[in-house]
Amino acid sequence: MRLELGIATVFGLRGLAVLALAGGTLAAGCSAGGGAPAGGPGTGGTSGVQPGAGAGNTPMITPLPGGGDVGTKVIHRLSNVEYGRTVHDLLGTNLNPATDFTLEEVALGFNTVADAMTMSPKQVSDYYDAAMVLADELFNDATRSAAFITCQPAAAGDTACAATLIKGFGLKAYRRPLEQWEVDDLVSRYTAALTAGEDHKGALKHVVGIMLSSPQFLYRMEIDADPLTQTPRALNGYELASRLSYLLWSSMPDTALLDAAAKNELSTPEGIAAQLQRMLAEPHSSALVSNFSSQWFGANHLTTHEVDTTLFPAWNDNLRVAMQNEMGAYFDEFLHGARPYSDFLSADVKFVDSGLAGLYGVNAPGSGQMRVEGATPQRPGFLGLAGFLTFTSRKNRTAPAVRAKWVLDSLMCSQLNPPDNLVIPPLTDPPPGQSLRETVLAHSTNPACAGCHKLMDPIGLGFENFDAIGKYRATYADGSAVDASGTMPDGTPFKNFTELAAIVKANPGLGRCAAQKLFVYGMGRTVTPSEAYLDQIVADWGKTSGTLADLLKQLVLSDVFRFRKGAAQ
Amino acid sequence: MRNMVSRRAVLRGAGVALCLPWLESLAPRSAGAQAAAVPKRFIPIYFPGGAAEQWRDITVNGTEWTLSRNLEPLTPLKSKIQVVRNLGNYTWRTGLTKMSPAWYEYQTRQDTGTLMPNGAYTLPSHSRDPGALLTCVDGDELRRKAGLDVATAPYNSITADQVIAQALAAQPATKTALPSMQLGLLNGTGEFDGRNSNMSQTMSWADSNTPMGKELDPQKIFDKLVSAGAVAHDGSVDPNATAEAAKRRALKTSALDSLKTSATTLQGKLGKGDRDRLDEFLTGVRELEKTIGDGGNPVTSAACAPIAAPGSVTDPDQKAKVMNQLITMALQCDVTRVISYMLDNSRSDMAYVHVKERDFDTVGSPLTGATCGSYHGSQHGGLRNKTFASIVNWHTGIVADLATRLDAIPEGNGTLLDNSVLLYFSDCHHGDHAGFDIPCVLLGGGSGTLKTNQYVVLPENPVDSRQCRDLYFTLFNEYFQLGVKEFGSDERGIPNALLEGILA
Repeated sequence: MRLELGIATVFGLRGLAVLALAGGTLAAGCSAGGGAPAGGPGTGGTSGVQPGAGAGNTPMITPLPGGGDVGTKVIHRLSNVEYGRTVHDLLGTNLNPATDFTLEEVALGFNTVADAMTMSPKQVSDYYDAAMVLADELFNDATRSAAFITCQPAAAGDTACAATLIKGFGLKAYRRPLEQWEVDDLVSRYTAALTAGEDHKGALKHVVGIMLSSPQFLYRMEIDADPLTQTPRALNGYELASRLSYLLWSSMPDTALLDAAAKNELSTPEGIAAQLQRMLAEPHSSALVSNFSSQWFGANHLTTHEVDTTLFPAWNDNLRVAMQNEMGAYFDEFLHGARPYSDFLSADVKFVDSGLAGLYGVNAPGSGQMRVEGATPQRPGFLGLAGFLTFTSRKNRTAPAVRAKWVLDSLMCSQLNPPDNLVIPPLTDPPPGQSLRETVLAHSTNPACAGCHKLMDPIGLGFENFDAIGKYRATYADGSAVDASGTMPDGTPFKNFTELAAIVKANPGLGRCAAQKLFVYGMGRTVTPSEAYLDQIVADWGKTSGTLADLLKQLVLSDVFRFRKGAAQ
Repeated sequence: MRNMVSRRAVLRGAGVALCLPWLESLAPRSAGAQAAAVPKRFIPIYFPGGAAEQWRDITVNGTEWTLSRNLEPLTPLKSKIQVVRNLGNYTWRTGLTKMSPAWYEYQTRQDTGTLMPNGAYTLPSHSRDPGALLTCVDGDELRRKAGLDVATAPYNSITADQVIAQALAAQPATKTALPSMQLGLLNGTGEFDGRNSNMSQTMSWADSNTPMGKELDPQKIFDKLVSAGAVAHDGSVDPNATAEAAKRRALKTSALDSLKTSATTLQGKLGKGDRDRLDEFLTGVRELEKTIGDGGNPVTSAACAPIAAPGSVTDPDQKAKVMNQLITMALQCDVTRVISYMLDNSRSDMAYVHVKERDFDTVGSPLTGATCGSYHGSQHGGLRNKTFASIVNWHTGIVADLATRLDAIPEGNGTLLDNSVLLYFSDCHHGDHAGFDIPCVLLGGGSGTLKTNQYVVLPENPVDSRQCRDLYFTLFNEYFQLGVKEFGSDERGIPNALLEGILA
């Protein structure tokens, strides 16, 4: 649900002090929406608290003051990224059929939103074809095939061995123990394949092909005893294991996690926290960098970004990759490292290879990537990273409004919605004799454009000391001096990028926005109707050391992560 | 939350009203004997983001007309095509007339200076415009009415090609092994413009809940055609009648039965929204069942001439040629009669480095020496951006190649092209995100239904402007004789009417 809200709500109360005038301006011609807290929290959360339900350590939902709604979660098709990582972990394959699938559905900025996932006939067909290819490849590989086929039928008509293998593989493929009807059906398919002329191995291959194209594999499902129930229930261990593994790894639970689920260890906060710590330490958690942060902060855009190499001869694919790597490594400082997210816009940390070192004007490493701290005071924090400054530029020049829009979207969760009937004219380069600053500021002379641009332009122009590949410049190509000074809508002046970054950093809405991004990515849905839980997560995060790992912990320990209710109908 | 409505309700509400038996009042003007015997085919071919102004440099001299240099690949086919100007697709936009000042306040068309309603400039255009191109209804409004999230839900309406495909499949005489095919050439990545990606990456919807996707892999398309029966018929033994083929069929039947068992059993445990999701899965499984071997009429076309298996093709020029061969094969073998074909995705940011930039403002359209870059970037590079014009010219060459292939196949009293309708079109005017005067070329005569060798200039002013919904309405009723009463929506309150100007 898109929310048309005043900017004041978006930035939070102290944010008002920073961007106070923006609210009034926006009311005239620009609305900001998306992800901000709704006026009233969800209702009914506390009325339906589920009692302990017998088992000694079944989690109890804790009523939120003022009520909270844990919401439901629809069946969740694997994204293409998740599919590729899952078949790799499940089968040990190096094939990734997902590269040929229908392009990833992206909604609310991420490829994990369940509501946006489709299942077209073409996709069913692709999944089926991929399953057959993967099963073929598994059983044609002598080593992996032998590892799978750990028993042989004792006699003709003996299906006990097949049932054992099906249950063992099924636990991993379906991410939970198979139910009896599932075992019975798959054993009957095994037998049908034998009848059709396959041998034991061929019949197992047939069954594995079916399982890899089944809805149980392709969707993450949380099945309620009563699908209509509005009473929150604790997720069972396997459901929680999948939520954890797809959040942290973009892949299936590993054996240790499935074991923890089997032993009911995920029913306590301590058990979940222990798994979180273990899983974050695994290399698999790089998915949070490659999938989550690259979408959140746009590093994925660099892959297709174009730069005019006649104007920027330093640009090449090595630099492109170095910038992406740096954005990932920088994010990782706040995830696996000890830095609090509140330093995200101020930490003077760079990760350079020789090309990027040249761009920053710092000493180059002999080879590979090197961490450099305190060497680039004129470009602190994430907003000073060349990758960010590049993908928000055009191929031949900077685009101040785009940079500003990304600051507002990604860091403050404030989407600017132009008036519905506004025509945004084709963007052209500044005419000869006019500076970029003049061109940009001309936006605000048109009342229809002014609403948004009065907010965006000062922020965007504050980046002007960095060219279209993020290199520092004191002058433009024509020799004129760069003016990166400006005044925020509330009248706060800044002289340069460093001061601008400090103003943005001081915005108290940044933390809540980070929590919101993680919520949407990890829960695969909008924050509504669970704003109260988001507020609680943010508040609890405030009591920790403030790293992104701390934020992850608050999310996975929250009742909104550990409980669910049925759909309303 | 996604809140599905029934497929039947969707058909009722989405702007298409199939009326069977068909109405006398809608009797088509040309329903000749030959038209009944020869297959009728509809091939919409999409390219994204409109065309640079060079497309429109068409000259008229008395009764003669000359294609623009940008459209020159079509010159050899000029006697078999018509170029349509000022066809719009924006009156579906909900609130268009109420959205003051959208209708009453005008924007000046940058190319001609004519005043056009603000509401014709749709935002976000690269999702809403392509989403509405073959539906002519406002997808945003459909989602709103269904209680779905406007930005994320994969929910639209049945498309014109699927209206035709479903009608053909319902009659034994016109049913083919594959009711329709959805193909794609390039798969340029880019933003989805604030809507579900299907609004900008998919052209055909079977109903509101079912985007059809598209197949981009030539080998998979080939395999699908062959398994649907597109094999040369020389009287030899049925190649499927081997033990191996029988085993494959048995295994596939077993597999698909298992998938159906799982999906239906799980549906019994889930709420309505999730049941609907698994319905989509089951629809896909049933489509797969049709490929097992009993999916429709056996291929009877004596002219069926399969190509060799294409294998993997990545070079864009090579791939374009192979795709044209496959489309030709599909039509010639009569495996299907409806193919929607996307040459690229909406808002593709793909760099067209395989295309050399040309200057269509100069006689001879000389090379500029530059190589084309980002497609979407070029669309915002000015009205006569050379890269933009060159990329669209490349697409036009592909369509010309396809039409030439179809024109080489004798059929009835003419050629396969003569009896078909190819619609080469885009969703926007150009980088202005406008829905008026979209690029539109009709190729083929529709078995004598359509006029050819003409340049049709429809009214430019918004009050009298004609819209895509009337083009489909005309094809439904004059060419396919479906008796459709109404298609698409028009906020001006104007009912569907035939597009007389294109008819023979």
